[in-house]
Amino acid sequence: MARLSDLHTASRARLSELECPSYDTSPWVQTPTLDRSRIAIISSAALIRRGDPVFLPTDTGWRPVPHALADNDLLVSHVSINFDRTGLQQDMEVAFPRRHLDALADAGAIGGVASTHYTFMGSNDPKVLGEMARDIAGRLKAERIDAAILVPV
Amino acid sequence: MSALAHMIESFGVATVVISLIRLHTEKIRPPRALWVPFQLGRPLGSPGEPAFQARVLRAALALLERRDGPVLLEDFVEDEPRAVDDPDWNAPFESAVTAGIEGAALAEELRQLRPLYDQAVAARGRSTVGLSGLDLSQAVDFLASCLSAFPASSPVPALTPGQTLRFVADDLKAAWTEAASLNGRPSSSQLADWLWQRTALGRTLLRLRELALASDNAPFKAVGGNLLVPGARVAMIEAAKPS
Repeated sequence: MARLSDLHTASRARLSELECPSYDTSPWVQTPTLDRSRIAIISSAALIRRGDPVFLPTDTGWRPVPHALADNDLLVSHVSINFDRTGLQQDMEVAFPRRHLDALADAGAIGGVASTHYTFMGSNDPKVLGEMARDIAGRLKAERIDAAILVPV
Repeated sequence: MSALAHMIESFGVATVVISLIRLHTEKIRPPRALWVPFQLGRPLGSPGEPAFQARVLRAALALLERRDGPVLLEDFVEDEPRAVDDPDWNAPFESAVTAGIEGAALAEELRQLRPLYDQAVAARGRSTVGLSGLDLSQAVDFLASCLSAFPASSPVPALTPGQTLRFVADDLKAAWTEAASLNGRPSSSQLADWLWQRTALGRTLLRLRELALASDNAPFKAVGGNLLVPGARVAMIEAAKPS
């Protein structure tokens, strides 16, 4: 469990003391109703296409992940070994829920699913995220995506 | 993720975050977040539990329909179905290699495990093994070679020896876990206890960590000391040592 009290001492201390940014603004974009909203996933798992270069610790970039990419072509290259990987090893939907989004779209609960999702390595300093946010937001708007669900590991 | 959500929303796209560390989300205050009480690495809960995962996802997406933000932070109060051990699960692969960390023990363990791993890949239609670029036999050989001397070069041209060690370890842990989780509904702690306490792979990685920490080779020390054995497992081992 990810309650801080359940983590071992070193992780609890590190996460409790982690410096978090604060902002003066509170942005808010109102989406259409969910049944008309097209959704993309942004994953911090440092996903790669099988055979592509892995994310290395200094990698502050992002990569597109085609929605249609087969599960067997998707690998997790995040530098950290301090999150549970056994879930992802059994079932990619625990952190990259493409099939669940497909099911919601098929049922008419959401308006559609992006043809491209996005991934990066989630251990980055928030200070380097601005350019990534601008680039990904630009791609999402170009694909007429209404909302992104951000899924950490 | 909360900071990225804030920024993406600032650029004009609505966001909702699944939060694993509530404290961070409280501080950063992204536009919409659903905190879940699951362990790190499982933001939608347990593997093989699609109905539960779908409930988590729907709860997160439902925040996009709200009109009363910003800021919205809701809690998903159910625990994941596999947060507790499965009393009926037994590691289907019980290593006959009960001691030793030499390459022969590791190779023998791979020989025993391989049919089950192949079954797991066939059953799931996928595997997460593949980061190092080496096949499992080559990965075992590389790992075993590190026990005697940290190599000066990597068999993978695109990776340094340290990077190869790290991704070989990832690949082998993935193969062992994928095989062991084929049957039953094991918790993550059951799988981890099996890997670290009852396999030659676990013993090898723990020994490599010790060797790395005592080494003067900086890449070996950095990778072997930090990227082979999870911090929680190191803490458990340290806590179990007599004071």
